[in-house]
Amino acid sequence: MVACLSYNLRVSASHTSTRSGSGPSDAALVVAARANEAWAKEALFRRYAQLVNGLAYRVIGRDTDLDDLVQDSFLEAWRSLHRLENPQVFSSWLSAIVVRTAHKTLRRRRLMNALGLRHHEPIDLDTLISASAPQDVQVELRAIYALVETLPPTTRLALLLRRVEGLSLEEVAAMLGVSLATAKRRIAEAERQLESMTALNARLSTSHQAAPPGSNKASEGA
Amino acid sequence: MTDPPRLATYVQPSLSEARIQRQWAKVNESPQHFWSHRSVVYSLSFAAFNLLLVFGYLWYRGSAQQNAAAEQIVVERDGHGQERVTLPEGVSIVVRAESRYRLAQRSKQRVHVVLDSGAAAFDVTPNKQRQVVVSAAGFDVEVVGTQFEVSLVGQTSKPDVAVRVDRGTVRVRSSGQDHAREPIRTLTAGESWSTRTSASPAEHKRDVDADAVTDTPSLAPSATDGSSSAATAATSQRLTTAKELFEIAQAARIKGNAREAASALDRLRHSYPSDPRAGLAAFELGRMRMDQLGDSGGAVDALNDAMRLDPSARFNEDARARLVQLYHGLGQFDRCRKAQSDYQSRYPSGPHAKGISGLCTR
Repeated sequence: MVACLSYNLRVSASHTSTRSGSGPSDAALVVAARANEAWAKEALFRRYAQLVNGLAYRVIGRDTDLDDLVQDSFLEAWRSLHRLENPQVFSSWLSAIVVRTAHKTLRRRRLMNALGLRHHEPIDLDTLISASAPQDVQVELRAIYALVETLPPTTRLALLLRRVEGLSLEEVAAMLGVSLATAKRRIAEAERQLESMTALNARLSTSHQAAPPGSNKASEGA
Repeated sequence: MTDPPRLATYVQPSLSEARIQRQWAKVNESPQHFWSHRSVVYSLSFAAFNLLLVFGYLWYRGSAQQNAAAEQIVVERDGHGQERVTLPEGVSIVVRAESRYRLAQRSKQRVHVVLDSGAAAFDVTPNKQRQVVVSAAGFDVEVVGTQFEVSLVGQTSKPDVAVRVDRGTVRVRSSGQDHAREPIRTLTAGESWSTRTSASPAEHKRDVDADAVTDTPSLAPSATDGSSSAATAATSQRLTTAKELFEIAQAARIKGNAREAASALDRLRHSYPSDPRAGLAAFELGRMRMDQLGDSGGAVDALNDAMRLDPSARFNEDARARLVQLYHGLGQFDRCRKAQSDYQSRYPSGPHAKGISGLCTR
């Protein structure tokens, strides 16, 4: 959890507007929320709604399950609030809850797909990735999200936290609740697959561009 | 550290204030106790599904056991100590009183019965998928699908084994003999075999050579009752009293089961020749063989026996007249004439004198 501190600081920077100097601190809100004060819970929710929505959206890669995931994450947070030892790190603690809840959602979705009880929907990259993203960022994000659909949930989360969220290895390990070595191994494995896929795409793209116009037309016609 | 993650910036959900409000409403309205949580609901659903599977399996197993229970061995005991054991594998065993047997093996593929003492009759439904073997005193009787009887005769440590086949085929082997090798004997319907006579293993057709199986008690109620019955009980173990045998015969006759009645009478006359009922039993046996069973040879034997057992009985007149008719029917005219003259000399004005006067000629 200590490793999450830097992430806490980094993400909280984007929420400085919600944490005005006149408003209560996270610690104060957590203490009030523990006393089951509804206003404190609402304040915490509104303060971190964007953080939770963003993180949840990026790890599950689609909008359809987002509301459920946010709801589950906050409910889990309210339930285990009494276990939070340091209320100051509420945001990183909440992020870890989002990741764990997302992990459960992904596992359940995978099981349902395997049992044929749920239709697999591929990630809509055009919707997911902002159109305003630079070309290189778009390429990188497309490669990452194309790969994560094929990865096991834990590896998927490790890669997304590392590459998209930009967390350190220690932070990823803490978020996933695994050892640093395990986090490293999973990220390395995912990175290797990502490189292979990127190289393959590049080769295909090169050969496609190098092909004579006639053959290209023929293939289009086919 | 103050810069936001570069890639994450470009992957953001569309979050309106209305959506956040809606999310908050859902979070706020959701009961926060344990049972309301979605994952708990999923877990409970999964557990319920597993429970259903378990119950389904248990129900299936229970019904399978019920079916199996319905196919249990059925044991019926009649009033004479005779036990009928019906196995669901298509094997019916009639075990005589004071006999001892064991079911050494019982499966869909093989039924192995060991007869330790006494006698038992078997009725086996043909089934190529299932082997039935009856072991007795070092011999295996391998059943192909038949009705037969196995008896252990004698109280010594090494009793004689007798096998009589009423229907179908059995193969007799020494116990432990390789089944790929030829059996000691293969017996078909009407044949019998005994260790006492196996030194000269001639076939013993029941209706021809009665002496071959003189130690074999007759057990099967539905067994063919030929003259071999003389053999089946001549020196058989006295398992049933003469009175009981007579009652068995009476009951069977009332039921219309002539064969069972004849079998009991046959055993009575051979097992208890000094009993006052022996002569009458022989006479009744002769009548039944002649009138109901169509066994002329057996009837001659029984009637002659009846006159020998009780020379002063009133039925002798009728027995002599019947002998004339039987010899005539058998074409044994010399014997017929002899019997005819015997009757006429003894009962010149007898009720059958007129009836037999025209017989004994071709």
